[in-house]
Amino acid sequence: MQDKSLQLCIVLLVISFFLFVLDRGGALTGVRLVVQRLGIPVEVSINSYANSMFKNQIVEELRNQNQELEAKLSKLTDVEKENTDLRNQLNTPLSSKPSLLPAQVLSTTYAYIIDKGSNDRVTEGMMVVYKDIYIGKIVKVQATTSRVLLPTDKESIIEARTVETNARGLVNGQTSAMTLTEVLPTEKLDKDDTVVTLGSLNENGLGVSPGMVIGKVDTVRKSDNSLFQEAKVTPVVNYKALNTVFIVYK
Amino acid sequence: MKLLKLSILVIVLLFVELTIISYPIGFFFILLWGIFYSFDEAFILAFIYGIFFDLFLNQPVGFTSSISIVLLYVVFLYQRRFDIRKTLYLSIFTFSTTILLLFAETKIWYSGKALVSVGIVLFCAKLLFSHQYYKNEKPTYFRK
Repeated sequence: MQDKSLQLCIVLLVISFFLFVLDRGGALTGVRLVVQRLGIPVEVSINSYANSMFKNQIVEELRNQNQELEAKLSKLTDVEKENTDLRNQLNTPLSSKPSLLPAQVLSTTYAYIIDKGSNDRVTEGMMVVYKDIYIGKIVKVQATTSRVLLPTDKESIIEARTVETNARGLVNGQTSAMTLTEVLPTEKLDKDDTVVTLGSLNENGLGVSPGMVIGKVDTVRKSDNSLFQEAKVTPVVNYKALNTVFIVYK
Repeated sequence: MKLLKLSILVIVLLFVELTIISYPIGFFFILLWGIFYSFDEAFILAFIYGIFFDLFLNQPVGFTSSISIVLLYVVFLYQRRFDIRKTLYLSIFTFSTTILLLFAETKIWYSGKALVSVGIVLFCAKLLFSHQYYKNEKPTYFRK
């Protein structure tokens, strides 16, 4: 009996390896496309049904309003500073307004998957936003779906600054929250400071635009021995509760 | 026909797992099916589960199925030495397979999630598969 099971295991493992090799060579793109096309409507409907079932409508509305106000507030502070700068330096070219492509969130458990891919001219490095909030960067693109790297993901590192004090640092993902690291001890960091992206766009205009809200400073860790100070940053939005996000097209 | 029905159930559980619950409930079902019913069927289900998992998550196809089959085979090997249907062994195998599977998928050691998984699996085992345990109360190696 054990031999038979071992044989079955070996056969299945060999098939898995064979499929793995075929997939790496791109031979399974058609199969992937068909399965994803069939799966996307099911995932979207389960997601929206679950969200509508579990969410309290009023709380959600208030939360949305709060997010909107926070985003507006940070933007206003930025605009105020920008105004002062512009007064000093005229003829500053204004950045063109980017176009947005709405995308449905398909999966949030193991990876953040959205329903737009290379068929919709989505490429790696594009930024994903919700209102003025930074949701992530596209790191893997398939024909009909893409994978988004959230700021809370371990591999994520974003150049950031605080709106209130302009303290600069790097936001590292910590699974459920984030840490603002490498902030010089001379910079001022306070609780509830809004952390926004510093911006890092490449020559094609892909990457992270400046001034997108990442989160709020929760706790500040500062010691005399360390070269830098750190702060725990909490996201302003629950990424998993979103149904629709927007891909920024240049 | 039975395998087809089971495969559909596993795919439905996979959809729930990808959208609502961040626990590998599809794998839990396969593990319990292997322990309480048939490991041969569980291997095939693990293969199907892994293939669909990779297809939906934009991962290289075959990766998750290989991991799931290997993890199930380890549990299968131990069934000759221990009565793996007992709560203690069920907990140990659930914890170890879940933590390894989650690490393979996310590169994070989710020990808390693995502990919760033990609770989920024990609850399901008691609720759905307990009749199967009491029917064959003696451990596998005494049955001869």
